[in-house]
Amino acid sequence: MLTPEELARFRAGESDAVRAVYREYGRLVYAVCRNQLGNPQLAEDATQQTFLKAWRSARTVDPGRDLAPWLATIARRTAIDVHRQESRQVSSDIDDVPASHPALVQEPVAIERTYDAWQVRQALDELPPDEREVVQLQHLEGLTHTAVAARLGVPVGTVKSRSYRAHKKLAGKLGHLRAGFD
Amino acid sequence: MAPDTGRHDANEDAIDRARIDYLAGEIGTDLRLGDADRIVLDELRELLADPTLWAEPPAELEDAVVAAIAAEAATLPPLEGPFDQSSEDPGVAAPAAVPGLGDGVPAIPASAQAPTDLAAARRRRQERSGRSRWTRPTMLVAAAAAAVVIVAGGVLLLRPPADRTFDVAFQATELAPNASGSAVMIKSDSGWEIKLNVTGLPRLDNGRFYQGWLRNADGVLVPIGTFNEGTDVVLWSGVSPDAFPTLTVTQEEADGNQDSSGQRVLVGTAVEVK
Repeated sequence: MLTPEELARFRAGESDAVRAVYREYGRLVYAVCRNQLGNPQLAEDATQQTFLKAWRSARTVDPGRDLAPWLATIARRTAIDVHRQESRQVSSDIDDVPASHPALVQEPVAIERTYDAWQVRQALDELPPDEREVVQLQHLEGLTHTAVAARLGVPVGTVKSRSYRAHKKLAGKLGHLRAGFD
Repeated sequence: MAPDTGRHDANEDAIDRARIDYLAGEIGTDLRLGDADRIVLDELRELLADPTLWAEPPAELEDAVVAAIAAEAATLPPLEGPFDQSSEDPGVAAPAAVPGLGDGVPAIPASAQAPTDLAAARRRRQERSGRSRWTRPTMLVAAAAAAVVIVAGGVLLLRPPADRTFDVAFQATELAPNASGSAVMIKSDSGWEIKLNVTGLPRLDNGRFYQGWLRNADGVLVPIGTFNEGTDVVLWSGVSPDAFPTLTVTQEEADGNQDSSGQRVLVGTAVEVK
């Protein structure tokens, strides 16, 4: 969480403070935008617009409050705007658009899913690197404990203990998802 | 999850263990888990397997965000920006900005700026109350001096900056991972001359070409010219890198569609050379 002084400097547009806010929340904002839009370039655009909008309305934020829910909401709305802009471009000349274009294959994600995505990414980023790596290999690549151990060059028992610790933390942090906000 | 009250019985501990194992995918199902538990855990597993949630933003995005905010912040007078310092000063009204001095100008003279503490506020109120004792000639002299300062400031502000130059260091994208290079943007009376020097881009011909774009923080794109290969390219822009700081190069086809293809091969942010 940012201190009131850091928030004040962010509001003033001081580049080091903007950079600090980005480093605190940039990965989360990008993850939400990427989850909403799929396309990495559109997600970059949406992330940049999210921070610009946040800066423009920073005076409305109470110092001392966590920026996360506020930024997540801005990110989701910005991603929807970007999605609509892309959709409008598509409607003008649909024959020229590849079938994989995000505006053709994706609908905006529901707010609950946005908040879930934010929280999951935040929980993942808070894991120690060795535990995060195991979770990534298990879920993203679908590897078994044995395969993860072979990939990392560590004993299977080490993978199991890292996996257990990581999933215990994730279950603890994410057990109350869907509290919802907007 | 059950709260950690220290009074878990063995059954609650077993259910917690079952939740963790189910989330980790180590058990297919467990009779101790209810439907609601399984639904939440299934959704978590689905999210954990979603590659978009593991994606890392590109390194250059941080600079782009900082540059976009800095560019917009530079166009606002300090006390009209999102951070109005006077609003945090108890009991002191925000001073009005001096109009007509243009963007980015510190329009408020030091004596009129918001005080930063109550003692300063008191001093300022005393100064304001003392103003009524000024004689008319004193006020005329002061007004004339202020006018000279404002006019002189305006002249300085209206004078175009000499030889403004921006540098751009390009980052290659996945479409052209071997590409690299830079650009120099030089202000002239005609506009901004943009000299590109890029290597690692294959030559495009037969209706295919590269196109340069400047982009602002809202995503508005301005085309700045087309070319076939990246060495010794000169492009021109009618918009300033102050407001359009992101320089991109895309692959295009002569298909009648004037919009960007979105196939970016190079991306960079313009940084002014001091």
